Amino acid sequence: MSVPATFRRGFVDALPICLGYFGVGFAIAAASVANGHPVWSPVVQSLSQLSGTSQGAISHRAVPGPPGGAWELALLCLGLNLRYVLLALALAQKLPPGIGLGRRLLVALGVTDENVALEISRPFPTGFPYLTGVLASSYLGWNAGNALGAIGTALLPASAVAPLGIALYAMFTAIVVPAAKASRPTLLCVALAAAANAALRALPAAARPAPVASMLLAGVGAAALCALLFPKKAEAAP
Amino acid sequence: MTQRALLALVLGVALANYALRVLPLALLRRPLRNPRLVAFVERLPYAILAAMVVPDVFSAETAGDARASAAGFAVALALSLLGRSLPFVAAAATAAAFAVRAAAGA
Repeated sequence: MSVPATFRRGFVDALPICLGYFGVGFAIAAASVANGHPVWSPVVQSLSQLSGTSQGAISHRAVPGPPGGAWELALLCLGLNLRYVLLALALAQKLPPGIGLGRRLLVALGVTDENVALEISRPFPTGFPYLTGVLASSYLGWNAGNALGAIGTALLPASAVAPLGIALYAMFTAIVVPAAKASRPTLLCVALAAAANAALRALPAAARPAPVASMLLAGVGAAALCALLFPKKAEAAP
Repeated sequence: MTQRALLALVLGVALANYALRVLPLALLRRPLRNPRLVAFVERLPYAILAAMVVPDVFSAETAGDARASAAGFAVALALSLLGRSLPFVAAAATAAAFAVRAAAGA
């Protein structure tokens, strides 16, 4: 296939991802603005990267909110997205050897769970044009959704949009539940993390960590404990 | 958090995420083999997300009303167990929260 044809093929194959990202981006941006974020916050975030989880983490803290907390939030995002290393490594196994550093720098922008799952499931070698087609498609959907969600919500009065805040928690739930349903150790891990965070937050004020710090402690602690108890072999595909 | 701190956070996280994506593609290229490390990295996001949800989802700040957010969370749990898609779960939970708030007359 010629270069434009393989680009188009990647773009078309990723259209279901594009549509899904439109819906998720719209909901995240709407919830973000309902939480007091300025319109530029979801827009700049979606333009600068494709990452629903870290955008959800940033959006679930109210702005303007209590001072500080940015470093804890940055670490939380890092913990949420360490898995990109696994995804990028899985994709690296599928890249033809001819893809140089410059092209890898561009392809890296499109490393998300959905894109990599599509790319490594293809029976044919997915070269640079195909990968950029997938990237263009998913980027378009994500940004269109974010822009419309942010602007649409900003046009409505703040009191009317307050219930939109639940959308973020609903999405977090929809990510966790299927994974916990599929694997016993993961179920134990998420139950432990939720219980540990609830316990930390119930401590007397003098001993209680800040909210984001306690999420990080509970999450890292639960994942570390479960990694020791239930190690896992790397799979060929995520 | 001020808007200035928010912008620094947003750009910092974008850079960090890009580094996580690009370094393995540019440098590492060999898959991770350590089973404990793989288990940790794979389950960490789920653990953190679970801690982000509980107990905050039961607070009044989440959806402007504690009953509305509890209803939204119940709908989200049920539909996720049924395997519905992310946008669908988000829309249905939000609709439930709006409905409960309207019924409560808020």
